[in-house]
Amino acid sequence: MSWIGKSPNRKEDVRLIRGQGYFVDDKQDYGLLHLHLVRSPYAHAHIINVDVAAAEALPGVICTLTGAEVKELMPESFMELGPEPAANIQDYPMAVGKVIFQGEPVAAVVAETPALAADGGALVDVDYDMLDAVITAEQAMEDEEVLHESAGTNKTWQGVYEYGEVDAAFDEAATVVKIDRMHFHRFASTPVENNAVVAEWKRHGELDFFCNNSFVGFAQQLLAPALGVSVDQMHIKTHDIGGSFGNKISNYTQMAIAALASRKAGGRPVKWAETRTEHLLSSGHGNERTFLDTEVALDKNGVITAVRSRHIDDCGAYPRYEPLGCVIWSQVLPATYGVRNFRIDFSQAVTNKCPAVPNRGYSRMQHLWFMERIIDICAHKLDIPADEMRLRNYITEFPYTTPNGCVYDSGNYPAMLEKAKELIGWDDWKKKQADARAEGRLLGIGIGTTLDSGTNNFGQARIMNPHLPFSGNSEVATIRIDLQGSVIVTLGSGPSGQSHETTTAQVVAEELGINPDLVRVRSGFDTGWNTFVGHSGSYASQFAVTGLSAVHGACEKLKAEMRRLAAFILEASEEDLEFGIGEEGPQLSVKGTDQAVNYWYMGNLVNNDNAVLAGELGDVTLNIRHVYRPPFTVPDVERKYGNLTLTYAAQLHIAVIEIDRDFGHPRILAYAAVDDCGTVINPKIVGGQVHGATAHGIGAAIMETFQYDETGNLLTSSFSDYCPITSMNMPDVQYGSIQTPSPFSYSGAKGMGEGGGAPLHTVSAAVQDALITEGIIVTDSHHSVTSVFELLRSKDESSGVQVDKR
Amino acid sequence: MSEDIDKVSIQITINGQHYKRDVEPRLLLVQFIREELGLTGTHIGCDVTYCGACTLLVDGKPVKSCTMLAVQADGCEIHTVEGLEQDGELHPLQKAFSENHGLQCGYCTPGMLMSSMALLAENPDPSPDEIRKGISGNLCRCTGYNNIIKSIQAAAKEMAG
Amino acid sequence: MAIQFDGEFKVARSRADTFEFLADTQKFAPCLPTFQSLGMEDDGTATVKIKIGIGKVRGIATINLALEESESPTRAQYSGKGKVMGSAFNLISGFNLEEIDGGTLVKWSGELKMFGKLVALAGGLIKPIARKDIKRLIDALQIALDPKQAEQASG
Repeated sequence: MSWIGKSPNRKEDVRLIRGQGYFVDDKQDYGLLHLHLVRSPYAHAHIINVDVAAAEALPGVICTLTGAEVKELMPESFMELGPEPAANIQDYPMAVGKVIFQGEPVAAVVAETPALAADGGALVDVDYDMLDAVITAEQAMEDEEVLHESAGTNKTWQGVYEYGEVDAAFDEAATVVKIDRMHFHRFASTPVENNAVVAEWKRHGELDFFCNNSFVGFAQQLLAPALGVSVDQMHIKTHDIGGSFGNKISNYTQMAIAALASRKAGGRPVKWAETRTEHLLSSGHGNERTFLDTEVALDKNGVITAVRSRHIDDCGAYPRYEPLGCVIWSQVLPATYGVRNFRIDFSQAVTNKCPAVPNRGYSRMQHLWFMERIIDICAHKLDIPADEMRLRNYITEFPYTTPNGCVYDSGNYPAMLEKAKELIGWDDWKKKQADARAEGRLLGIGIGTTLDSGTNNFGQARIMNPHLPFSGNSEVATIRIDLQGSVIVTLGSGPSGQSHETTTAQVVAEELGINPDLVRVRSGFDTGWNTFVGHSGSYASQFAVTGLSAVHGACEKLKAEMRRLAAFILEASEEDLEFGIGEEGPQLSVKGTDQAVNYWYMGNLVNNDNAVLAGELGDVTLNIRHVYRPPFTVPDVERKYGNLTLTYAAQLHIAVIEIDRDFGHPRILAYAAVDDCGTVINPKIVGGQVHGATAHGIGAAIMETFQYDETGNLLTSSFSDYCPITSMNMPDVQYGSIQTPSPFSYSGAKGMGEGGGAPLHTVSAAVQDALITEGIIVTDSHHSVTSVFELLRSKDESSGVQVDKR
Repeated sequence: MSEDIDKVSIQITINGQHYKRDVEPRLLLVQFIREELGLTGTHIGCDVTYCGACTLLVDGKPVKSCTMLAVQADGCEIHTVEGLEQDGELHPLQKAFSENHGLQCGYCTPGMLMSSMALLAENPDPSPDEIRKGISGNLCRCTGYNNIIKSIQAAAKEMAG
Repeated sequence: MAIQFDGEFKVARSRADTFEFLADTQKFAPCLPTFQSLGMEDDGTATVKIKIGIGKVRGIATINLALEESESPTRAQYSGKGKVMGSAFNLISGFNLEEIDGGTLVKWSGELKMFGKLVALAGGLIKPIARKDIKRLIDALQIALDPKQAEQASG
């Protein structure tokens, strides 16, 4: 029986449905202390004085930390990935001398209970000298108010991506469409579990972390030098993580504070469990992007031949991981379209807002939204139906090399469109739309096509900063037959809800001819297992490729050892052996005979009873560590050219939205999502990921936004104001899939899960289609009741779109 | 501050087990259950009664335990996720959530299960819209809710026999 | 979040008299709404405590109030920096005095800027609440300066 393409119940569920999950905040410990962070109410201010005396005098308070002290205790500030001068930004986990965003930690209080730590926090007296806040990236780029003196500028990155014959394409164009300004808003996927860590800096020098960081391979490389320890001195573990969606990649800064607090508290373990308001204020927002002076060249058939544009990213107070977002979008430069000529001038700047972090669909989603807006705006302006416009422009031949050297492995976008139309009942809705328009109602049908590029080539980091020693990608799995004959697997991925235990067990069961129940996959991540490399983590839609290829490769090596061992025991030839399950459990047997050896016997032999081997097979340990490395090369940094991702899963969504003319309320009447992630390992899990990414996108499109006022106050810093999508706002999703297997992965699977922000493209398209009769062009990604109401009220003819027919 | 806070004695029954403790009046019910009793199945996700991760049943009614003080629960009978499984037999809701992929990271799941319990106790055969309303106070960031609605429908069917 | 405010009122006192009152921190500060206590640091600078709150969220705010500008008898301006419950606010409040028949015309203007948790917690409520408090300050000043006329005006 094959386990690939099946949906066995999840291994993770066994504990999670019983309330037996083990999340960071669940950890209790002897002598456990609790940490509370005092945060700045100002977005931008000099710190004049931090007085912790009253807090330290409070019984139950063990110690405090201030920014100045943190700077003393850290041998160096956190590494910034960006090139100079952004590389010179002094990035400490607590504000040193100056706060750059509202909610930035300025002091920490460590106490016997969480309540006492908070009491102590209320007694910390901080004097600030307020400075003007810089709220938009465009404003920041003028450098009138420089946020980081050490960098001397707010600009963190700038580069031009130019491919093909852009100006010639514009000279030859039948039509040029110009769009002055578009804007992709700030939001985050905000997992229900907040950031948390328990740090214990033991007196003998070892530093333990139990955390919910979702990219430990990276975090450890930032933490070690900043804390003055070796990577090996740190023991980092995760277990259950209550969602990350990229957001938990950057909680290493708070891990550092907890570690320093533990050291100051004499080595006692210190827990920090973030509150939701802290999370929304300060733990990372998705990239906000502004697209300026966009020009699109089209031929007489409505085929786009060139795009030139200027894009500005707002990375918030500290770039940290972030300038990577200035390159990562280029994994999907032409989106799903055959455009060959591009000139994109891309820059990024710091502002007095929460630092940006990777967020589901990271950086590609913004660009894909931009490309989808272009398609729809051009379609409307040229009077070409939106579906037809896409069919004229889709890439149809695969593998397809994009103008910047990325290779789209496989796909069939027209088939996805067809399927999505079928699911939603396209023709029927078209009729209903005509009726609605006749009655003066605002009904729109929108299509969004998107890519979920997975398994990134870290070499693209060098396009951003040529000095970074990163390239390629890799992931590790270990598999062994232990002394009881159990199959034990460990992973480097540290998942946060993506069902890695289950899909891993399916792959192992498939390879060994057993069933997934017989495979024990350890939960979480643990540096102590030696199952990690620098790339280890759960991010960038890649587990199905990197993680499962590592598992698959480990199985192959294990099987080779098991064959040799079984051949020795059974005195048979390796070719005659087969894997399977016998009366005494999982076994290897000699084909066509009743001769077999089970896993217990083999495991015991190697681990307990090796004299039987009489000195033979000394290299057989039944304990395999396998690293999978995708076949990448280092990109050409000068030309910004190279293959930046291995697989390209795709999604196509269609939404039908009716807008209330009086109030602007956008109501989703129907929704369809079609997914193609190549060969599917577990359809139920893939479907779950598609639904989840759809909810994030719809939530972001119609509800969620991080809204700042002009002085840098975050006005949506609690769930009551941020309003994440609930069951009342989430439509029934008509879900379907096609499979175009990837030629680049062993199984034909493509990484998936991020979803590429399809609902944002789709909802914008549907809102656009509903409002086009009013002459309104949609140039912002946020369509809350308020923003749609504003659109309707302003009847924005000045939306800045010009059509120049030659 | 804390040194002048007098503790209050409370008695609470949780999943049939009787507990007597002295607590600070400001202690939230969820903190009491998690930190004092070590029943960590009930989670905390926000601080404004929005996310519902901390939902449990107080005298049969679903309550967000981050917005109730432990002292307010004095004398009450409480049910948490840890009490759903009876004699090694999973509750139909637990089975249905697993079978219908109604959970991914599992962080919202305990609260979601407890709200579903209350919903089905009041309305054993809810329509999808009634289910949506029933769990509208519980956030899930992983599943997009569709599979949760399916799970509750499946459990309702199973419980109806 | 910033709130600008301005207005004017008449008092039946001489300009010099009115100035003397408004430019005296010890007389001015107690007119702040929900005033609790006052401590003088020097002639022009005071630490004022007021009660502040929205709904059930309440605390004592500490304001450093300084007489920033004073041009006798035409102009006085205070600046205040306040802290409460992890939040902060900055206040500028100025008075221009003009002589009119039978008294003085007080033209007031200022700006209140708020930062932090309080703004987010109060959401859309904060502007009306702040405006109400500013009105209470002006009313209190008017009463203190001219009890009789204030009574007539409000009656």
